Amino acid sequence: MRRADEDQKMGVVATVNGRERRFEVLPRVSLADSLREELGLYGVRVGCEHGVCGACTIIVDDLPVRSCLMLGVQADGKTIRTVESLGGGKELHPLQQAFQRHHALQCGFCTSGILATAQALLEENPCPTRDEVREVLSGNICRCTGYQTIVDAIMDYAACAQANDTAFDAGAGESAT
Amino acid sequence: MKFPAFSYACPTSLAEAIELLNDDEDSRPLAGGQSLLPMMALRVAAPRMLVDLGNIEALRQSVVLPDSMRIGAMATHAMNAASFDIWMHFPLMAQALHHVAHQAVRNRGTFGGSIAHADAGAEMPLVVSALDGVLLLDGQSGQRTLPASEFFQGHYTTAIEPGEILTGVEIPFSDMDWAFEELSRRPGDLAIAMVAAGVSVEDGVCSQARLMLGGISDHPIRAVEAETYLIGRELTPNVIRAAAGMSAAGIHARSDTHASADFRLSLATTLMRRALTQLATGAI
Repeated sequence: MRRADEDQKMGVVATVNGRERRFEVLPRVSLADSLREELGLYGVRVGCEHGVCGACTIIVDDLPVRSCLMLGVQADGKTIRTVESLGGGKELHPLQQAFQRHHALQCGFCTSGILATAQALLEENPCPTRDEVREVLSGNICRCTGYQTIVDAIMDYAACAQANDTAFDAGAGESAT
Repeated sequence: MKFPAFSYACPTSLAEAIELLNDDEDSRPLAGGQSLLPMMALRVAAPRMLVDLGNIEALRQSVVLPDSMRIGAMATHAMNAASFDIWMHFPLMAQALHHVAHQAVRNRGTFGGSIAHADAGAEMPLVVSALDGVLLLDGQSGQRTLPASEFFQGHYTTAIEPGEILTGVEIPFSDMDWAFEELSRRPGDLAIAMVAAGVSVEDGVCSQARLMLGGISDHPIRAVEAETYLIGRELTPNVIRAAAGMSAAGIHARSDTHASADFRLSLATTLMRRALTQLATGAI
């Protein structure tokens, strides 16, 4: 049985952004803080730290989850994707380009969580309606944009993807521009 | 805030989990962590040990039985919302699941966790009470079952004894039609007020009724007087208005920063009227 005392670090092996990563954390450390501090994935934003704001949303085993409401030790054996995996981490992914075109971010603090939420939606439902986009975004708080431009960006991306008949590909954009 | 320090164990069998919970009286089972972890971050709870139930496969399983369905405590809200069996047998639960938090929370939050946590504004305790679910508990002294009416005792308070684990809920199939109505401040928030209404209509009159209110008091409340009133009556607008008024009468409503007791009672009446109107018009 995996077990650790409060002052004892526990080993974790997880697939993070396509690579097997190993790290050790105390039980009390959230997955969000583990990814930031142990693996340097600073795209994971820590906002409210109690599951309300959605800024820390990442994708675990293909499902969006709050990384502040998961423990680092619970990541063992999981497959994790953070915003760093979008566009292969080199170029902006077409979804990020759509955010840029539509001014769907100002300070950007909530953006990686919103991208993860949008990515999970688009993987499941490549042509969502505006209402469906608003529904999934209801779990993410953005204090800058008023949300309209975020919905515009996601709808624009979905329309382009539909026109080109392409499914959501997290690695897309790598060879673009 | 960061979580307070705690020790952690992730058993792979129910027996191990029960042993761990009994070894340390300040240990708590960790289901999806979508309520307990925020409470720890806010320092409302600070258990010395968390026993993670996430690797106990048996707790995630749901089974359809001849007259009922047993839903595993560790089935997530997302799994239940996508379950064909739940959609077919418990449309009330399927409707209520639309109101449970947000997608990212539904992917981790569990059915049993929500029930054991027993927040007065949570939907699953109301659903399980309305459908006469039987709660399955397992502990060192063996298994026991409890009807929902005896399980929910107050806000965050249930009949679970220290060292016991809620393993699932067995819910009998219902032949009534059901409607669910809720009001919350924002989509995904806990309910300020919610109702579950079930009726059977035979020869134009109501032959069976079950009316439950949630979020109003500190635990789900059954409106027995209003149920009795409906039997033998046709669901006309006047009858619905009278039953809805009766359903909230005499309840000791709670008052908090979200709503006063009076406002909650007024909402209860309105939501019950809407739910019964849905059932009467078939506009579900």
